[in-house]
Amino acid sequence: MTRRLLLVDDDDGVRLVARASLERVGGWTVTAVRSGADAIESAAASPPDAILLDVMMPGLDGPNTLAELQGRAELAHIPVIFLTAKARSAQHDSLLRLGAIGVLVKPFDPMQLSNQVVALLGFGP
Amino acid sequence: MSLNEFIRRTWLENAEIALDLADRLVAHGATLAAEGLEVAARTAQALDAAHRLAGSLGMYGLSEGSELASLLEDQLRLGGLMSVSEFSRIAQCLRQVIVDADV
Repeated sequence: MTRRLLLVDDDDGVRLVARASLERVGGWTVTAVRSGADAIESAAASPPDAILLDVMMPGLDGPNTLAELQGRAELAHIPVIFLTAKARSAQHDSLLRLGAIGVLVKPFDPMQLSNQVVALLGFGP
Repeated sequence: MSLNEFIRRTWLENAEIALDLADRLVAHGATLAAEGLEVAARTAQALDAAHRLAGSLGMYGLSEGSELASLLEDQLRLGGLMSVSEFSRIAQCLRQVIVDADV
């Protein structure tokens, strides 16, 4: 069965390329949204198998979106991977402490993104 | 359409936006040089531009552009890492990477 991934990023180009990469290389079924608020609404309507979540977004940012998800019993189990342009290990550690299962760095290699997601999740699409 | 072709087309559709973001950083450097002071609202706009470029250019194969944008982002976020003239020089280099891009 195809695994479903919710992709959250406010940058149109990143969203387009990441979606194409995950679908074409990894075989994921991807729902892409541009904000934390849209992510919560989408996840509540149709819970994905995993969420790839940008850290810096206007409005509800990545960490606060994760907190909202964790506060809802029906969504708290969904594994979240942060996507961040900042590569500092200190920030990675703080993001992991929030409850994400991993952190991927932007810019990503479109050919490798799906493999990186699969490696963090421990399951394939 | 192959993934590489899709990425190329996406770049062509977004190159003008990237150039606009780079122009914002060049203008920020020029303003700093002329006025010699930071204005929070302008800095926030420049930081957004640097952050977006740092996180996206490498995805199109423009790794040098992402690295240059990341340097500017660090300066805008932390301060004290480079002079105004160095900021302007890096912003100009970043702009040139985008102008010269052959994705």
